[in-house]
Amino acid sequence: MSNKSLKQITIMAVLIVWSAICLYPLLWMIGASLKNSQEVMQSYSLFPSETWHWGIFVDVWNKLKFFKYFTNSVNVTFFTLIGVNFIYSLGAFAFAKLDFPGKTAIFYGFLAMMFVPGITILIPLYLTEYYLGILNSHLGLILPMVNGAGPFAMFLFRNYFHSIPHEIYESAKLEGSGLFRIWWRIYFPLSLPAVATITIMNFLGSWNTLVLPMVMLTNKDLFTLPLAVMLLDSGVFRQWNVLMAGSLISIAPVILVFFFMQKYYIQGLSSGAIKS
Amino acid sequence: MKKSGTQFKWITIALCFILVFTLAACGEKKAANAGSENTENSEKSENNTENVNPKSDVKLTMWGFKVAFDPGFKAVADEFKKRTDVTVETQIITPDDAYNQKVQAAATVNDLPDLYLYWNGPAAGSFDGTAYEWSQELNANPEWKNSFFPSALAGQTVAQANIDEWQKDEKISQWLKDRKVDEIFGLPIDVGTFYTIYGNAKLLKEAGVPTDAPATVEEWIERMKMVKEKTGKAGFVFSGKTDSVYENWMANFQDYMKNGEESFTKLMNREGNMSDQQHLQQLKFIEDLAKAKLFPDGMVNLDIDQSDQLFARGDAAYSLGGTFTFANFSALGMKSEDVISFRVPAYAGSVKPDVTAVPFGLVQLIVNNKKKHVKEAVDFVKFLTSEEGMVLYANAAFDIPSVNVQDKSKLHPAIESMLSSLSMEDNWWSQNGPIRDKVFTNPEWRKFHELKQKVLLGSLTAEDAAKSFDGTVAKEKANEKK
Amino acid sequence: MNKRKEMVAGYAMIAPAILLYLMVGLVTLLFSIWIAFQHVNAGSLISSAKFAGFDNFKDFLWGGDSVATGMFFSAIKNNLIIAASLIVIVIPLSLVLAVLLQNIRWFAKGFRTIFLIPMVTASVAIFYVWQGIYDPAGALNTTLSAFGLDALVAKNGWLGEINTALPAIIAQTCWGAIPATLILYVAGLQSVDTHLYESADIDGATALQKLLHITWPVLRPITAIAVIMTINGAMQIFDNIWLMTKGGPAGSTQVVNVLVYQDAFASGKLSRANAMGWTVFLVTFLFSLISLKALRSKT
Repeated sequence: MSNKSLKQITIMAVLIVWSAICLYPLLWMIGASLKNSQEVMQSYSLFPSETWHWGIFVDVWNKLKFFKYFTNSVNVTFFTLIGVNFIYSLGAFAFAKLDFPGKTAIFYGFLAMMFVPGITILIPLYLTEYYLGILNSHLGLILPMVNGAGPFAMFLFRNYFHSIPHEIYESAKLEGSGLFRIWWRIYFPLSLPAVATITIMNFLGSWNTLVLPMVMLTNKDLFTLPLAVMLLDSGVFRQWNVLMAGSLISIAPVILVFFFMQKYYIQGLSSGAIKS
Repeated sequence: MKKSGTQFKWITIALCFILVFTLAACGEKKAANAGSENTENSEKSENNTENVNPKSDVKLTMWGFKVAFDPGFKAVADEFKKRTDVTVETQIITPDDAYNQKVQAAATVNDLPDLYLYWNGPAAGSFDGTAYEWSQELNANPEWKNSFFPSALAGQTVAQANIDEWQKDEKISQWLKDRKVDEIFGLPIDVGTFYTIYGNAKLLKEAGVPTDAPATVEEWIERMKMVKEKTGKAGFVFSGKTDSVYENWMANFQDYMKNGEESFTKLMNREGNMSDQQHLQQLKFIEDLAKAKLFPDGMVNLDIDQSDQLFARGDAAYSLGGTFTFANFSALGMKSEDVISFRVPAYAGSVKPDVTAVPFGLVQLIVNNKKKHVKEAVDFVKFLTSEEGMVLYANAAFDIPSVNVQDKSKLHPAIESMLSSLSMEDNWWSQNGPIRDKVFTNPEWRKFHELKQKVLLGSLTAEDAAKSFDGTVAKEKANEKK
Repeated sequence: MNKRKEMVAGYAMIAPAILLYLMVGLVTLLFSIWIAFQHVNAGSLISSAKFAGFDNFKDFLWGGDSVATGMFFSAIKNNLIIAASLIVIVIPLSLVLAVLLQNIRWFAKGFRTIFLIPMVTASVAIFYVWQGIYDPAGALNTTLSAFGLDALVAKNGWLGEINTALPAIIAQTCWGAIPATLILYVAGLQSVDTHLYESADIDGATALQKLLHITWPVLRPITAIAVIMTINGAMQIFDNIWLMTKGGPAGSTQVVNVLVYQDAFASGKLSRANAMGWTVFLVTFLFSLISLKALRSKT
């Protein structure tokens, strides 16, 4: 009994230490955003020594025209996630369960794309988008991001589909279900843990992405949140408090979504347990 | 029962998503187009109400990379619109890295706007004929041509030295190989110069150090030491992280002053040795100051901004900058009476200790030759670089104009006083940009940056660093011959 | 008949992915490969490119530009050091944290949320925060001297000294990379069937046996994913280094993508940048294949 609670306390201590390490930079950001522009450059203390300047958030909110950029970011992120989950779950099902000529070669050719360095292909990608006519549009962000997330999503989905007992597939086939139906009704719902993982990862990727929209977007009305935050950083010198407040505002939705995603994530995991 | 219910729900949700996805994907472009049409229409109607007889409904787009300049261009654009009814819309893309990315990318598909700013240099940012060539236009109007500060225009003009370089380089495009002397692919909009040392007068007085310009580098270092002794603050700060700040803003100019043009040219052309006594000071200076602890801790990782901030908050007595730096200090809250400035000091025994730092063009405006409204864009640049346009621009952008404004009283007093402190007479230094610019093009100078950082951190002596530099030069020279 | 149906369905199912791949992926890649074999420089247009053969590769592989060659190999070395350190630190640590999370009785959800924060806050601003932590007068140095560990204080800041900059970058990268791996392991551990543990208990299996026969088979594919993700992440590392050190001081944190970026956008050597990018691609690919094989054979 006491042995068990000792163990719990040790675990707790380790987790608390790690929590502190995880939280410290975020606290630093909050602290820096509450300092005035002079103090933020001069002191490295975590929180402001005298007054806490909450007004900065209101200023930045107004300057940032938060809602517009927020909608843009939601738009881009949402369609990226939908695209990634549906396109690659379907493809992975074919790779995991069906047999067709050239299967292995296509799969590995596809996986190899994961290692293509993103920075290298920036200008070639610009050329491609120009010829496709999707430059300076949200579609021009969504398509490459979906495609970029493809190899990993495909890999993960295929792995999960492999881990689902083959009998399920056999019995569904015996019942006379079509292949699309088997994917849609059985495999996709069973792979919700994978969906959750992929969603979380790509949510972050597409929400925070900076270089791609920086090069592809010219029209300010289409800017995403991280770009809008960069607009705050365009003065003669860097106003740390403004920059930190802007970043916090842009991160806040991610933290909120995460809070709710956790629930969904656990549900997805429990539905994955049916497989026995 | 329950199972099929959830399945049905899933399919419905999924179908909705897919539908929305396709609709949004298809609809988005149309919506964007519709949006821009709307704004155009509304602007047109605005024009109609303003002017009974619209002379033109041309709209030009201009890209820029400096937020501080934007009010200047807006002021000129407003006036230009009143006269010609041509709209010039400016778009600022920051930071510099992002702007450069954007311009490079846009250039590859001829997607550059009607007008764009670029860093100064002969045929820089001209993208194989994308840039409009100005020499005929300028020669047809000598009065206008002569109104530019000669050094500003010279920095934009293709010289024989440039052509020689391009002819030698096999990798360069045919278009650049076909260039001719005296062509100009962009007009300078401002002037400025590096080689400026700023001092914190408050700190200097506190340490009992005179606030005038030191006669030599040696005297200057003594003053730094006094500051360090009396106040504990660092003597000198510059951005140790950004390559070429020390090299291009200070060391090369000092080397030229110390040794004269011949020896300096030899060094830049891979015919001299850094480890020779006459050039070693470029690294020795860093070593001496590092040993005497005259640099602030962590200087090796400071950006230009951060270096300015460190100086502005009083943590270093002197700072390296250019004419454009002063505005930063006042933005950072320094009072102008607390800032002194002088030209980078020369070493004792220099051959040419009194060379003036002639200002050159910093930023150029380029007209895109491949757009529909080249004529209007050319007219805009002509208006901008007229006396009237330059006054409007300079006062609103707080920038030193590239044109010698005759009626100085129209300029903001601060700009006027900055201008009067600069000498505009051409000299060898201002005329030989291609030699100086090897700092940016020759690989050995990339190596120099690394070596400089090592010396700064005390992990390499100045002598060893210089030898390593010379070794790199020898290798590159061998490559050159192949 | 059935086989044929399956084949058609298979192609139909991978069609959306392949179509998108052809549209934005492959065309871009071919463009990039083409550029790598041309001379395209700053201030020139792609349309005026000249065929270069292997010139661009020679520049940084065989001393065509001796400085670039030196930098490229030291950058590759740094990339590999980062990759190895991440594998050694991130994967075990994430696994341990995931196991601890599974075994804690209170506040497990809360801890999990907090542990994901480094991933959530991954933005430009967070790199500035870390720069502040590593500053000469920053949190790390202050904390060290507060505990009397003045000998460990980095006088020029943790990013400002040749021997501490890379470890500092690695620590920050680990901090940011752990959540993604952690989440994989948490998902993996939760999908292990608890009934199997119960029946193993009845059979009297030891903890080690349970780990080897029940947990590890589930975690092995996940570890393979984590290793490949880590290698790839380490080879493509860019944002944090570009914003915090630009590869300095004295090249001590130089990585290939920083060189690629400098070539493509600062010095305008677009072709060489693409050539370098593809070289790294090959290295990463080979490296990943080897580790994948290793993880597979170790059943």
